[in-house]
Parts: sequence; C-alpha cells; structure tokens
Amino acid sequence: MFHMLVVDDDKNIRQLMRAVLEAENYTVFTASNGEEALEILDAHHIDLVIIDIMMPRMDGYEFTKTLRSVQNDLPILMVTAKQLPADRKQGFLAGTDDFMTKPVDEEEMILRIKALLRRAKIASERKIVIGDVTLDYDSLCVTRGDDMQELPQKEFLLLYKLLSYPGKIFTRIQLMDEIWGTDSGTGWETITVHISRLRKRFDGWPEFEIESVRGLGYKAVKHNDKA
Amino acid sequence: MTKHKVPPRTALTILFAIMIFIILSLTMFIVGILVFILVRTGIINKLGPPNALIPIMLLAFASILVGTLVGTIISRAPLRPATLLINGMNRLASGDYKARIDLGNLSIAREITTSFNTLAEELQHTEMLRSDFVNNFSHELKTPLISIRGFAKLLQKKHLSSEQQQEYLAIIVDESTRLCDMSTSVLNLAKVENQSILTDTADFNLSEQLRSCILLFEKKWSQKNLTIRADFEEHPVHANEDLLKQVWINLIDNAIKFSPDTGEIHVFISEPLSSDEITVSVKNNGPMISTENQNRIFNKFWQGDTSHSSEGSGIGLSIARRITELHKGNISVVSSPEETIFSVTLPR
Repeated sequence: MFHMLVVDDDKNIRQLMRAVLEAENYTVFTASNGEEALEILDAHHIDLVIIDIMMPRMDGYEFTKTLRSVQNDLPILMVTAKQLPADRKQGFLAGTDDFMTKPVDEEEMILRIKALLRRAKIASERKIVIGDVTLDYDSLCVTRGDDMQELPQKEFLLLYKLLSYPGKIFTRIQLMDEIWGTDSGTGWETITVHISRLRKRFDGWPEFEIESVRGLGYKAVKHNDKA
Repeated sequence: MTKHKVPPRTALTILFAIMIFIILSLTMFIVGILVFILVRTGIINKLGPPNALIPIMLLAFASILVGTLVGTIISRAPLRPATLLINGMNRLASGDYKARIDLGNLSIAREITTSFNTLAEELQHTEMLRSDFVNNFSHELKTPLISIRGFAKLLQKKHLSSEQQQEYLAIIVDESTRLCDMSTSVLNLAKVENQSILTDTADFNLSEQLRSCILLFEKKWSQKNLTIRADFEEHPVHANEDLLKQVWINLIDNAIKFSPDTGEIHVFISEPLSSDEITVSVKNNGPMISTENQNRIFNKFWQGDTSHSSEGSGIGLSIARRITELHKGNISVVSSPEETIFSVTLPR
C-alpha cells in the first residue's frame, strides 16, 4: 500500500490525480503548495511525491531543493505545464527524479510512478531480485540458489544498471559515461568485451538476458516480469 | 545602376553644392541684368560717384531678394522627393503597406526608392503571414472545441445508449488531446520564429543525440514492430543542441507515424570529406508524398490528411524548417511510392 502525495494549486487537477491514483490502489494525500506539502511529509509516511512547479508560496523547484538539501531521497515526479528544455534541466538540477509535461497521459504517469518506486526500492535495499536471482550491490555478488559469483566491479555495475531498468535500451556511450566516467579514455570495445563476458557467465540462466539492439545499444530483458 | 557606387552622403553634398551654385549664378545673372538695365536707362547714373556705397547696397539687397526668390522656385525640385518619402512613410506607419514610391532617376534617388519599396514589401509580407497565421490558428483551435462542446452537450441528455456514450466520450478525449498537443507545438513555433539569430551553440556528439531521440520513441516503434537501422560513426557538430533535438524528434515521430507495420526506418548520416556540410537523413517506407505537396508540408498547419484524423497538428515540419534555417542549413524531402526520405543538411 503505497502513499502518494499530490501537490498542485489547481483543485481540479488534484481531484483528477486522486482519482487516477486511487484507481491503482494507492493512498493519496494532497497539498496545494510546497509549504503545505512539507507539513504533510512531517505528519505522514509518503512513498512518492507528484508535484507541480508553478504554485504560490513555495514552488516545485523550492520544495525539491529543500528535500534534497537535507539528504531526503524521496522519489519526486514533477508534473507541470512548463515544457521548455530549460525548465526540464532546472527540474533535474533541483533534484527531481522524473519530469512530465502537462497534459499527461495518465497511463504513462502510472508506469513512470511504478518505475520510480521500483528504483527507490532498489536504491534503498541495494539489491535486485529476479525470480531466484539476487544481485547484491554492496558485495558485487550475483546469486542464484547455490551458485554465487563475485563479479569484477565494472562488470557488476554494468549488469546492475541494465537490470535496474529492464527493457530500457542504453547506448554504449551512455553506459560508458556512467560506469567508466565521461573523461575516461575507454573505447567502445571495452563495453563489447564486458557484455560478452557477462553473457558467457550467465549463459543459460532463464531469468534474464542481455540483448543487443543493432546500431543503438543494449538492454536487459527479464523473463518472468510481472510488474 | 552606376558602376561606381558614390556613397549617399557625398552624392547629396555634391547635389547640394550644385544647387547652391545654380542659385547663386542665376541670382547674379538676374541682378546683373537688372543693373545693366538700370544703368542703360540712366536711373543709376543720376546718383553719381560720391555715393558709390548706394549701388553696392542696392546690389546686395537685390541679390538677396532675387536669390531667395530663385531659391524658393528651384528648391521645389529637390524637396519634392523628400515630400514623397515622408508621405510614403506616413502611409506605412498608418498600416497601408501597399504604399510604393518613385523618386526619379538620379542614382541616389533610385537607391532610396529601392530601399523604401523593399521595406514596404517586407512589412506587407509579414502582415500577411501574421493574419494568415491568426486565421489558421483560430480555425484549428475552434474546430476541435466545436466537437468537444457538441458531444458533451449530447452526453448531457439522458437517453443515449451506453455504446454511444463511450463513442462520444472517446471523441472528446481525442479532440482534447489534439488541442493540447497543438498548443504545445504552437508555443514551440512562436519561440523559434521569434529568434532571428542562432544562440546557445555548443559542440556535441550528433550521433549520440540521434540515438537518444530514436530511443525516446522505443515504445512506439516496438508497438508497430518496426526495424530501426541506425548504424553510424560518431559525428561531432557545433549547433544548438536543444533546437536540433526538436528537429530529430519531429522527423523520427513522423517516420514512425507514417510507416506501415513491420516496416523499416533507416537513419543515416553523411559527411563527405570534400564539403563542409553534414547531412542527416530519415527514411521510411511510408506512402508517397506527391510533388505538389512536397513544398506544402513545411507550411504551418498543413497536414496531408485533411480530415485531421491523424494525430499531430501540422506544425512540426514548419518548426523543423525554421530551426534548420536558423542554422543556415536546409531541409528537403524526396519521396517515391516505396520510400520517403527527409534530409537535413547543416554546415559543420
């Protein structure tokens, strides 16, 4: 039973969001500006905040910055009419986890919320569980029943990243930048080599597979995906 | 057109000097004749030598009078163009953009005439675009709103079958979505049209940007089972990253929208060593765009399917064209029944 907090100064939008979220069996709290939202956070346990940007008294950017400044990693989804790339950048710089432009497709919003919750769980537990397979971030180990393998750091990080966003395609450059750093001199071949090593290690494991998408990049596919 | 271009300032000064010369010469000539006549008829002689001052003063006085008279008459010629110009400008200011002038054949006059008439034409053209746009937009806005209101009113009546209700509600949802998308597009268009020079340029990896844009549409192309070919090397480029992103998003979205199921979309980059340009092309196997339409698709609000049953508002390609123009590049389309290719060429 997840607790959502919807923050928007427009009454109809709050009502709409409440209806959409309650249809997914989430418990919904609402606030009409950043200050009220902070008060609610003090009083109740909240799993995710859906927040507008343009609000009186405390806007979405302020609220996000406030939370992040006290190391609060609560997942935040910004939903706003502001659509310029500069607005998106500002949102991400403030610390939001995701950004959607109004009018939102309700289905897409629900999917993104689910993804955010999943990632928050992974981030807090630092574990990914797929069927019988467990990846443990702190020990760099991948376990399946009795079979436990400790991976070299880069291989583990690569697999962890791909499995944190199952089904999402990452380009080689994105993976290189994230795992090896943007300034490293590593070339494409490194990624190709690591991927083939991972495939060899987990060849035959039915729970997941790493697929190449020609010209674009790689993705991890889960084979018993329910969510 | 004179081959030597005399700068306007010098030309005017020369003209002015010539006029003064003419006025003074005429004046002296007329006064000279007057004096001659007076001397001949003996009027001046009566005054005699001791009063040599008087003839000089008379001469001076006469010069001034005659000079002013001559000047007034002659200056009507050079002042006429100035008056024409002032009248023309006043007409433009009051909104009559059809005003044109003709100041005569002197090279300086022709220059001013050309400048003025070009100005008037540009203003007229802008005015036309503006009122065209407002008309179009107003129509595009009203059409879905009429549907929405109409169907909502029908729904207010109680005796509709549940099938009809669902149908009307679906229409309301579709039309509202279309309106929202349109307002987003128009906002983008306004932003891009108000820019006359390109700002915020930077070096970035064009290939990676294309890949990211393609990935943005992953859900859409997997739903249609499309194959995406996007094999290219890394191509750095210097441009406005956000604006180019909009162009790729528009082209790729269109390619997907108009591609048949299980079709292929091929994105490729060509950067010949000999030229200093880079061309990005997006190819799909969609229906052919006829030659007459190939130009029109870049106009605002133009959609191939005039029944508006496809999504989108017809503004994307005009935004794309404006952005490529800002980059001093160009966008073109080649279409046959098997495939359609949109190409954007940019200077490196």
